[in-house]
Amino acid sequence: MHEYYVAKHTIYQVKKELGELHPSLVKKVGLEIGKMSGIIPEALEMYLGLIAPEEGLTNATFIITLAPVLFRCNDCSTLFEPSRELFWCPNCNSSNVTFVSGNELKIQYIDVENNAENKEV
Amino acid sequence: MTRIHFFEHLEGHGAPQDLTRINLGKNILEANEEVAHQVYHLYTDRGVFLTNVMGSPGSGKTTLIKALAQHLKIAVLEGDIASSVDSIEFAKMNVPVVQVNTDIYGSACHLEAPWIADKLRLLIEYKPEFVFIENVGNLVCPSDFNLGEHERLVVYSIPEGFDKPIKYPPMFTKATAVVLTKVDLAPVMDLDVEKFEESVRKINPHVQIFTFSAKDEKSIQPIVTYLEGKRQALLNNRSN
Repeated sequence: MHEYYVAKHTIYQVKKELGELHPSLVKKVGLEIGKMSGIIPEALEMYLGLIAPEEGLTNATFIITLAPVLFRCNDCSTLFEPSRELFWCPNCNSSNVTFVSGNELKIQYIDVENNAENKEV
Repeated sequence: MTRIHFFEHLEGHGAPQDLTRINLGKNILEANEEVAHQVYHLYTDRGVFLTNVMGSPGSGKTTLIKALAQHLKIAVLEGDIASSVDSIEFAKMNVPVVQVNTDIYGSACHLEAPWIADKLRLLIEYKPEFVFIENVGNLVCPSDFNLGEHERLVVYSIPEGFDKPIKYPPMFTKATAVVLTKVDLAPVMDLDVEKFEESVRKINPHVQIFTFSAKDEKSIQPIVTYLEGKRQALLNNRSN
């Protein structure tokens, strides 16, 4: 449900990073979305597709990378992707585990055209 | 034309020669995080313990906060898509309260720090010891937005069924405390409260779990004691 808001934040953050550069120079934006972030990637895709052109990112391709859910066992150090129903260590069955990743909502990179002077903006 | 592609693994390629890559690794919600940090530091400096109360609509968030108001010096920020139904309840109890309706933000299903920061700065002037943010009733979206809170308290009621933690893991894995409410209904519904606790522990093994029933006045006491302890720890850390 909140993918619309995450898409808006994404575009806001990208434009902030661009500074003086025109948004139409953006060719590619790399996003990293954790599988446990609560985001439905397809819904985010839909909203980015709607909002980005309205905000001037008319040439941008969004590359969405899905980051796995990972935990580390504090007893046997196993790094594991939990099952869908149990977040305990599959190696030693310990519940003493630490969340490592899977909540990411990140902009990893923005690729911008070099020939800015030739670009009609 | 805007296009979108999905990848299961991080791309290993750099930018082509005609492109310049700006490497960021930044949180998409950075604008929210910046305001949340300001709120967190303000509340920490003033020794006011801030709790973000989240849960499904009808899970008993308001009832729980009303019970806490009988024992703690609190103020409340009410988040709802529309109406002032809950804030009127707190006003009747002489609890300082502000209402935030997200219908002015496109009927958002969650609260964001920039939408409520001014109200939280206002509430602190009433000199509460605890401020509770009652988030919009929703078991998914609010969990992604840090509001500057010290505590993430998830309210989870017996009638919702014991499978909710595995169905909604982001909410439960980020919780620092879970309050199981309406436990008086468990026998009526032939449900086992222990099974609920177990289902939370499978997802978040170390989270603090409480049981609460509005019918049992004493059941609020362990939650009061827990929150008082948490605030005392905040005050102790602040003076160190």
